[in-house]
Amino acid sequence: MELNVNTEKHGQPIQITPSGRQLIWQQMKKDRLAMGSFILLVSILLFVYSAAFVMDAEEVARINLRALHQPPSLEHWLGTDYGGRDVFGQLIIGTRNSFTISFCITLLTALIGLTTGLVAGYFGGVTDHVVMRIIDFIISLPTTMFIIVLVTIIPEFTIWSFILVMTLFYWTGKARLIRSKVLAERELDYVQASQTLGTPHWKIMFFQIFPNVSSIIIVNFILNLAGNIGLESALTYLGFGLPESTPSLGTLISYARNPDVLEHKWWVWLPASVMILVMMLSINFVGQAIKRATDARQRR
Amino acid sequence: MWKFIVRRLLMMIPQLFILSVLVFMMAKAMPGDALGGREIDPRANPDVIEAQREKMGLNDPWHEQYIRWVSNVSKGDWGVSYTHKVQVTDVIEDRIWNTVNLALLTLIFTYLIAIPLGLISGRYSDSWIDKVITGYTYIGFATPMFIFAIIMLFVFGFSLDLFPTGGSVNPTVEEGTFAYVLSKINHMILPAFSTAIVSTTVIIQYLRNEVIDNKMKDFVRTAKAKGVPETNIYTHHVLRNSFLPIAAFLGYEITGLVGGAVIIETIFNYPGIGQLFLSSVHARDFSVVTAVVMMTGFATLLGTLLSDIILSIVDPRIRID
Repeated sequence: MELNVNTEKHGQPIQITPSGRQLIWQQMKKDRLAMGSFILLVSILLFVYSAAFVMDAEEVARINLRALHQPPSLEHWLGTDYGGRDVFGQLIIGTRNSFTISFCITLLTALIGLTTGLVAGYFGGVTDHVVMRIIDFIISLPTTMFIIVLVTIIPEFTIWSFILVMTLFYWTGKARLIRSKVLAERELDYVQASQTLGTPHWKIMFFQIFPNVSSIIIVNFILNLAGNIGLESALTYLGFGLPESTPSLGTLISYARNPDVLEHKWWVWLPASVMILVMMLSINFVGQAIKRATDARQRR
Repeated sequence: MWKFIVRRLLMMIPQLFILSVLVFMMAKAMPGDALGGREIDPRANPDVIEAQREKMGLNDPWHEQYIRWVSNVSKGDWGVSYTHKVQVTDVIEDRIWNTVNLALLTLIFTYLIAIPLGLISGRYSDSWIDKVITGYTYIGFATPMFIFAIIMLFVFGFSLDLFPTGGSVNPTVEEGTFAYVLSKINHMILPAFSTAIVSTTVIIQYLRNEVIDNKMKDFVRTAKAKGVPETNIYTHHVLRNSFLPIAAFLGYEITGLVGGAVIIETIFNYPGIGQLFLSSVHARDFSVVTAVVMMTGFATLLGTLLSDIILSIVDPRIRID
């Protein structure tokens, strides 16, 4: 019997459904804005991380009393701050710190949100109910105030305590999103089949459902990364973010709390503000493009 | 529907309880007497301090202290402010109306921007004007509010000198006059507008999608057939259908505004609750901090309650749960 079907009958290649990664790449290439943002973002990050690697952080942080508040010049490309420290050097180290810390926060919230979302959505019932009530409660708290109070009362405040405090409040949105997707996913036949076969729950959750909701997680991860850069710098601006030993972009902007700096010494705070805007916008544009690529209805 | 509202109201009880326990725990972690604001001189000798703590009941078991605090608070006694030397409630009363007024003006701006832009963007979908508005919502969504506010303050407050750069009222005008009210509004415009222009984008996007969904529905076609002018269809028929879900954003907006108050009031040096909170944290005036956190926590819980109830009226599917 002839079971072999010739798929290349008329010399035409078989139409293979493109893989997820290829789809995303195709969409990105079509979307000039997203592509431009992506290239810009990668070059900023490459420059900042390599420059920060070469640069001497202590040299940047050293106070120079003979060069207070100097406007941009050849020696100091972006001028100096109230301590005579080079703003350009602080900008590079600040960008690196802001990005690294936001990335850590996003990663931690993703891990916690993913696990709780999967568990709540997969098991449903009482588990789901309890987890959702906790999430509802945390979402309706005045988060900024709680973070500021925690930052004040934690003894020996470090970068890690900051990351943990932020994570404590920002895992909820992710958990809620993933839970709603998993809730729909667990009704599908492949999950039922696996359950009938006796596959352990954790295997179904992490090896079968997880890959099917991964595109949403990736998009959410990227958009959250942008949001966290803004949150971190806003808190540091208020003076309750990173400890002083680790300057971030918010540290530079916080000098603008002094009206004199805001009005007359734009070179101190404006570059950092623009850097945050550029990073957040380009991360968002990339995220939106990937969102379109993963959602067949929005594909162009 | 009543069943849902009652159940939702009952849920407030454990929420309030947990909130109060959290605030209590934070207050206990703060140095000194954060719940009452009574002074203990740290230079006194340890025995005296210990005797004082004993007298104030700071050495009692925690549940007794918690119950005492809750019963004081429910009687309106939030303790004494350490820096202002008056009752905490008086300090807060001075500031709270500034924050409430600012929030109201922000809400007015938010909806004034959102409703026309959302309607236009949905009505002329895929035209150039829709692309401009959608582009604005993308950028607004990605822009951190505090940076936008700083730039607005720099441009309109300092460089162009169009708006005041701090305070809530011009100190030279007399209280109660018309000029006083105008001065107050003048001080609020810049912060309110800066907040609104960034936070309105979600509502615009929502309204746009609603309008596009409704455009093809029968009631719109009927209205068209009756000869209702095109603009009237959008402002009356379509908007009325989308009004409640937009109103439901109100509660979440309030929650966001209360949280954002800390940042926006610091940037514009506006004497409201958020600024009071930050200055109290800096001055280690923890009885004020505790009271502000508890009150805003309560306010945001109410905001969410409001949104949930409006949503349950709009969308019956929510009530089944």
